[in-house]
Amino acid sequence: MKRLLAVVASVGMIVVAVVIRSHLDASSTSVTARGNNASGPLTVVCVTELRAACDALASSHPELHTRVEDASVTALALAKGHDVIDGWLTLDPWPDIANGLLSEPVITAESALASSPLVIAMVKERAAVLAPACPGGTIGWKCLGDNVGRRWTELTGGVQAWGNITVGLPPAGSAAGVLLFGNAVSGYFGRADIATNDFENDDAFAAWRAKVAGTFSESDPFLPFVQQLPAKYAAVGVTQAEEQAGVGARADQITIVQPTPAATAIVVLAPIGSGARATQVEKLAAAPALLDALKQAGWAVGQAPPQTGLPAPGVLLALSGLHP
Amino acid sequence: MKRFVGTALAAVMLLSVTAACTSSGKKSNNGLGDPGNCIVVDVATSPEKGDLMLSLAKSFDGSDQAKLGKDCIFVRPQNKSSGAAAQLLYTNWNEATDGPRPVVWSPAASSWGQLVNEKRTEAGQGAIVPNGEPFMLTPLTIAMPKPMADALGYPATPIGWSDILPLAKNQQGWAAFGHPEWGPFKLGKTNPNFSTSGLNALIAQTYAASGKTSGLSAEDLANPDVVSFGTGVESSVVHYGDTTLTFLNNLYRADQRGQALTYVSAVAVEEKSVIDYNLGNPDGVLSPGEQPRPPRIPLVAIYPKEGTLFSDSPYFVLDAPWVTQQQKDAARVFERFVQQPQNQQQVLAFHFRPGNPAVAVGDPIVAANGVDPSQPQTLLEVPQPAVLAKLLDQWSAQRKKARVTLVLDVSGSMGEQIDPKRPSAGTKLGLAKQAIADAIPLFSQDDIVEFDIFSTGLGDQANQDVVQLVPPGRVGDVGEQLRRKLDDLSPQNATPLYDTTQKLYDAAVANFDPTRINAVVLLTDGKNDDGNQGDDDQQLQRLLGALRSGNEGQLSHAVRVFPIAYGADADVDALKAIADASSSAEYDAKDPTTIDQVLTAVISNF
Repeated sequence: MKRLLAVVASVGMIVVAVVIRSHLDASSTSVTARGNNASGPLTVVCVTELRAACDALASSHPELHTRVEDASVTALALAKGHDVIDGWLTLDPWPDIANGLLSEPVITAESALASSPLVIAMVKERAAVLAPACPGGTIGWKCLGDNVGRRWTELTGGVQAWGNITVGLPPAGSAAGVLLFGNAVSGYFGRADIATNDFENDDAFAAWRAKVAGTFSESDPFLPFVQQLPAKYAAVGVTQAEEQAGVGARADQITIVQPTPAATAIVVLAPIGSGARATQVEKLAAAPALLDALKQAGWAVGQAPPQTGLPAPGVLLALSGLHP
Repeated sequence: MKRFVGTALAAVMLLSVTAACTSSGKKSNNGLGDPGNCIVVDVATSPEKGDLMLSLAKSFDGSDQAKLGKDCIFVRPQNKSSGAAAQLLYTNWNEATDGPRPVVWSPAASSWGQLVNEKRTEAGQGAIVPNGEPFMLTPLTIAMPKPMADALGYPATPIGWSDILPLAKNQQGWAAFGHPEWGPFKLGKTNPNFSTSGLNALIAQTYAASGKTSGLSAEDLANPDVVSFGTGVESSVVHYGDTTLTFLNNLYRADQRGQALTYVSAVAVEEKSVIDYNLGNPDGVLSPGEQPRPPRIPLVAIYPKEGTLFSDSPYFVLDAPWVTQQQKDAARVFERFVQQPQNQQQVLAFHFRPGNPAVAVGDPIVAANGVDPSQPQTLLEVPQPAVLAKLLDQWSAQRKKARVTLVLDVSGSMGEQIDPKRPSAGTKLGLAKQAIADAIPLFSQDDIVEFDIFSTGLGDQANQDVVQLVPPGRVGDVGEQLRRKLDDLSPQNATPLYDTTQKLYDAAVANFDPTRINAVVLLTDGKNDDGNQGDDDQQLQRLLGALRSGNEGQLSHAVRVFPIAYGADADVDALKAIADASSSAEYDAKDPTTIDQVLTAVISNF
C-alpha cells in the first residue's frame, strides 16, 4: 500500500509540474533584454488576476509599458535572467517565491496595496449536502479534497442529476492558483506553519494532493462556475474580491465558505532591483487610478494584514513545482 | 488523425457554403456605413448570433463609448460559420474572397479555438487564439414534442441518452407507451462532422454508453457495449444534415398540418432553438412580413440526466500577425461594451443565456417556453482531441446507412457555359459531373446508391425520360462504375421534372429499406418541361400529395427528396415545395461554381 501511495505521490507531483510547465510553455511571451539602468519607459508586469488594475494604471500613465501574464511566467523569466521589467504588480508572497528561484534576490521591497480573503465559493444547495459529510459539519479544503470526484449520490441528500463532485482551482501557474493550493494544503494539515518535510513522506497527503492538483483549471474557473451554475463546478477557490465583483445576479445560489486556516491575498507592487527606476515604480503604488481600479474589482484597499496566513514562500514554491 | 482532418476539411467545405451565403464579405458592411479614419475592428461571428452582433455594433459605432484615447473605434461584424472561419484561420484567410481578416473571432464554441491552435501548431505556425470569455451560452438539449415527453413521464422521470436507446430499439415504438398512432421512435440529429450540436450529441450519447461524465478514452470507444449503444441510437435517426434548422422547419410544417408527432420524436438541439420553435420562429429568423405563430404542439427541452455540453460563444481577440496592438485594445473596448448589462439583455432577447452574471437568466428562458433555467445540473467534459477524432471515425461506421437515388438532369440547358466570357470554365453539366465524381467518397462504402439521368428522348429508342445508368449497389462496389458513367454524359433535350421525380420517388418507396435512410437526390437546372404545359400543375400536385402522404402517419415509408436548384434558371419555388412535402431540405446552387460544396452539404444528410 505504501508503495502505491508513493507512486500516487510521485504522480501527483509530476502532474503539478507538468501542468505548470505546459502552462508556462503556452503563456511564455517574447521579451527584450534590458538592464535596470537603461533609459526609456518603465515596464510594469501585472499578474492576470489584476488585469483591470493594470489597464487602469496604463491609462493613467501612458508613458508606462505594461504587460499582463501569469505569475509563474514572470517568476521564471526573472529566474532565467530575463531582466526585462521594472515593477511587478502581483499577489504576496510571489516576490519571495520568485526570489526563491534566484541565487541573488532581485526583489527586496514591495508596497502592499489591497487585500482580499481566499475563499471557497460553492453551489448553495450542494454545500448543504456536503457539509454533514465533513468533520464537524464544516466544509474546508481537506473535506473537498477528500470528496472530489465522488458521486453526489454517495452522500445523503445527493441527487443523481448532479453527477460527480467537481471542484475548480485557478491555473496552476497563476498567482491565485498557487495561493489557493497553499491554503488548501494548510487546510489539510489544519495549520499554515508547515514545512516541506511535513508532507514529503506522508502517503495519505500525497494521495489527497494528487486529487486536488487534478482540479487546476486551464483558466480562471470562477466565471464558468457562475455562468454555468450549478452544472460546471460544485465549488471553486477564489478571492473574495473576485467573488463579490463577479457573482452578479446569481449570488442567491452561492454560498461562501471561509476555510480554516484563513488566508489572504495581498496585492503588492514590487520594484525589481533598486535605483532610480525602482523609486519611480514605488511611486506608482499611490496612483489613484490603480487604487480605484482595485477597489472597483472588490479589493479592500489599504489596511492589508501584515501576514497572508499562507504557508511560507519556500513551501509554496515546493508545492508549485516551479524550478528555474 | 488523418481521417479526422479529412472529415474536418469536408466539414469546412460545407460550412464555407453557409459562409458564402451569409457572409457580408467585402461587398457590404450590413449598413454600418464608412469607418472613416476610425480603428476598424473586424469581427467574424458564427451566424446564429450574427444579427445580435450587428445590432450591438450599430449601437456601439459612433457612440461615446467607441473611443480609444483620441481615436474612434469602428466595429464591423461579418458572419462566418465556425468551421469555415476555423479553416481560414489555420490555412490562409484571403481577404479578396473571404472578407476582412478578423481582429475578433466568436465561433459557436470554444473548442473551435483549440482546433485552430492545434492545426497551426501542426503546420509549424504559432497559436493565434488566446483564451476568450464567453459572452453568451446555450446548452444542448433533447427536444421532444410535449405529448411524447409527457408519455415518458418527464420531468418527474429524468430522461437521458440512456433512455433513448431502448426507445430506439423498441419494436413496438410508441405503442409501448400507449400511443401506436405515433409510430416508431424517430430521432433527429445533425452530422457531427458538420454541426456543433451534432458533435455534442455524439459526445453525450457516448458518455452515456460508457457510464462516465469525464475522461472518455479510446478504450471506452472500443468497448463493444459502447459500440452497440451507438449503433442502436443511430438506427432511429430520420436523417442527418448540416443544420438543426432543417428538422425544426420540417417539424413546424408538419405541426401546421397536424402531423408533428409522426415526423420526428426527438431532436438534439440547443436550448435557444427550442425557444425559437415554441415562439413560432423555428429557424430563428423572421423574414419581412413574417409573424411568429406558435406551433400547435410545443417542444420540451429535456436536459439529459447524464449531463450535457454548452455552446459558449467565446470572444477571442486574436493574437495574429495582422492584428495591431491598437486593434486589440479597441477590441477590448468593444468587449466591455458587449458585456455591459444593458447589452447582455439583448443576448436574452435572442434566447441565449447571458455571459455576464450581472444579468439574471430570465424571460424568455422560462418554463412557459419549454425550457428550464435551473438546468443543466451537470456537464460532460469535452474529450481530448485524439479521442474526439476516433469518436468521429467510429461514428462513420455506426451511423445509419443510406439508400440514395442520385438523379442528374441532362437536359439541353445543362450544356450552357457557366461563364460565357470564360469558356474554359466549362459547362454546367461538366461541372456537375465533376462534383458528383468528387462527392462519391463522401458516402459511406456501405451506403447503397443508384444513379439515374433524366431528360426527354433518352434510351435506345429515344423514348424514355429516365434512364438508370448504375443500378442500386454498395458505394464500395459501384462507385467506380458511377464515375465511368459520368464521363459519357452529354446534354440532351427537355426537363420532365415532375414526372421523373414521381417515378423515381415511387420506385424508392417500392424498394424502401427500413434499416436505412431512404432518399432521392435530384439535381436540376430548369423548370418542368415535358412538352405538355397543360398538365404541369396536376403533375406537381400529384407529386406533392404523394410525398406528403408518404412521409406522414405511423406506417409511413419516408423517402426524402432532396432537390438541388442548380443554376440561375432552376425552379426554386417548385423544388422548395417538393422538399417541404417530403420533409427534407432544398439546396441552393444557383451559382453553379458552388455545386461541389452544395453536394457535400446534401450528402451530410446521410
